[in-house]
Amino acid sequence: MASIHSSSTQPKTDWLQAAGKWLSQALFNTDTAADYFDVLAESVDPLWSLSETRAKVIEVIQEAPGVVTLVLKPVARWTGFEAGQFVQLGIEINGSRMTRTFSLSSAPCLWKSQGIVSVTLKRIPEGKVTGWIHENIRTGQIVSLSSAQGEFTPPVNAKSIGYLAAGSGITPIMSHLREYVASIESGATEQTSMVPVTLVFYANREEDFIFSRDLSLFARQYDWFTLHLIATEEQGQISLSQLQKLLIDTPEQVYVCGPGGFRESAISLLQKVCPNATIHQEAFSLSPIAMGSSEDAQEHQMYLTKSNRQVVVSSQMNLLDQVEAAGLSPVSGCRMGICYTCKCQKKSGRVKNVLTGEISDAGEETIQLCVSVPVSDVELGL
Amino acid sequence: MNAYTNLSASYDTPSEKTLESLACELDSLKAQVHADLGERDARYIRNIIKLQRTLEIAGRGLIHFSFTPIPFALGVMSLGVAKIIENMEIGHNVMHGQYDWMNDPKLHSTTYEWDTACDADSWRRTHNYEHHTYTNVIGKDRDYGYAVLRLSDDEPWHPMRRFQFGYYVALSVFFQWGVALHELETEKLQRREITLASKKPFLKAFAKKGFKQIFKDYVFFPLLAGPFFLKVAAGNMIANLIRNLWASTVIFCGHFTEGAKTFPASVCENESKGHWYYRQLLGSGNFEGGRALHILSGHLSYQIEHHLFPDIPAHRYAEMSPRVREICEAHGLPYNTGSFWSQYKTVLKRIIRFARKPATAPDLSMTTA
Ligand code: FES
Repeated sequence: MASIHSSSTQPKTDWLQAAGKWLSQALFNTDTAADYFDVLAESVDPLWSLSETRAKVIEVIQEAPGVVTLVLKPVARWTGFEAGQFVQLGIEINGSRMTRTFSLSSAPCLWKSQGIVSVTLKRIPEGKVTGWIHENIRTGQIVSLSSAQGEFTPPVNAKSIGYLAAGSGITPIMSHLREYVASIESGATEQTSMVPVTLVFYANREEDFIFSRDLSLFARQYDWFTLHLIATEEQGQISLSQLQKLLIDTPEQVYVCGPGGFRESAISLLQKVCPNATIHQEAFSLSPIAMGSSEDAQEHQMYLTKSNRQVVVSSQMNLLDQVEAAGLSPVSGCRMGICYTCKCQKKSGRVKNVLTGEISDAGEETIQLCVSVPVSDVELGL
Repeated sequence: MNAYTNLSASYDTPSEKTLESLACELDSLKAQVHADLGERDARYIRNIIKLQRTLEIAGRGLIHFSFTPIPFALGVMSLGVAKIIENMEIGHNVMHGQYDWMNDPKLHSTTYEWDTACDADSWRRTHNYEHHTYTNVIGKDRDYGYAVLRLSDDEPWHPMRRFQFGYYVALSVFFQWGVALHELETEKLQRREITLASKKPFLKAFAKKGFKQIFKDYVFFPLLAGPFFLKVAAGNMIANLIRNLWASTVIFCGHFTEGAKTFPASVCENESKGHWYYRQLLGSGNFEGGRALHILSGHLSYQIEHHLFPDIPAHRYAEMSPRVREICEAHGLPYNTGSFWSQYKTVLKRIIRFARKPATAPDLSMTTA
């Protein structure tokens, strides 16, 4: 069905889209009419942007030291999300637009019933965006919100579910748990039909557990939910014996979210504790993306065609940072390979995508600057 | 003596030390303003865009619905001014990367497209690169006289130059098409230095963009008016003409005033930053006026500041100019400015003067100091 559907209407919509783009370019000199009228719409109401979906901050909640939740009311045409997904949140900071990726921490139910969503974010040391949000954000602030993405969503049929979270890695998991609870409270799911859910949650100290009040409340209220809070400064890091003791239900589906190092050790331990379980992990990393090992450090020439600039670049750093270091400000968003805002025309040369490890052809193609490192001399259309 | 300073007459480079200190002071002024960019600049450009959109919509509306000359004329003016603001204060400046730091895809130098026949990519090549790098270097800066006007004795005279005032008027009337075809390098085609085949990609882009512009002003909006097709087409044509004449005038005032110097190609070899600044300074001229005049000229009324700092948001030039003047004075360098009319008069005089056959054939062997 799906294939018939797409083959018959795809060319037609493509054709229509191209015609619409041409017309808009001819009449407004912009790719879409929305881009032309946006400034006018925005000046009436900042939420009325035609080219992106916006949301208003309606509450700022201090969750734990260095962690805040922004409660947002997106415009009605925002497309919604599934529990565990993430969005690109854009904020204008002193006239310049910054975009970062955050997991939604609220239940999709809340969006459907009240039109509200929330993101919970931890202040990253030296982080420009999280730092600004922590210090300056107030209710009433307008932000932009991409449509939700990600596959870290609740299982359809599982006999038992396990969650391993570290630090702010709890946020997408919280969205899952809240969705389960909401569906029970609304009567959509029978309390008795809920499968056992176990959460093992790691944080440095007692006070660093985000959502600890809600989590404890859920644990007291619902039999199907087992909670283990582990303060690593007292109880030590994640270990085999500990997981064997805590995951008594041997979960069928396990979700892991936290910093890269945590995820790595959690997954290798899980393969021993519950070898048959399906393991899900949040694909986007909360720590900087590794750009390559230091042994293969190489220098290449980068030529920027539009600005006629030639600089030496290293195979150790993403091209976005290096183009910025050369004095240009290319458009960028998430800086982690998700949003495609930084896409740019590579005229020639080979680059490696650090997320997939794939090495490109030497020909002309579109690349994402933020996750590309040069493997040869490159020429970019910037 | 020649009143028009040219390379052979008074090309007198300041000492390396002076140039170094000039670069240092101008760099620090730039850094200071750069660090201060923020919300104010974002608000400024958005307000300008809002104004431009309002004027364009009002203009097209008035042209469409007017049945008497006065509202029609108002509509034409409004559309003409909208086009001027879009080309000068928004398009030109955005494409210089003045607002790239805002990280707004709609206002980014690499993707912006403007309301004129010239394809934005072609402009980025010929203007941002050629003209701003080789400003007023004879033979390298093709903006110098646009290959149709002779504006200094460093260029050989030819009997056809006698009619160059006529060329100037024609260029001004069709300015957007002149700019659009600039990259074709007709003078090099004529001299058979390049082949037409090598210009094929350019011609394709030119045709694509040019067709869109014609479609908008001479097909789409006139057709919307049905029986009043011709009225709308005529209105749009006059609006384009207003923009053409104004843009041409502003640009001529920028580099072809009496005080604007020219340079031999040899200066570009191993040129220091200080000398580059010096050349920008001497090759450009400002004109004075009210705020509206500055906005309508895209702040190219501060041509000197623009050439020194092409990627600083242009509305900042006004506040930078007193400091630039001070720096010029301190280094014994001229700062070419005057009222709009006085500057424009010298441009016209220059076009006429160099149309005449020079008394003695100029020495074409350009020598550097
Ligand atoms: S900035 Fe988002 S993909 Fe590169």
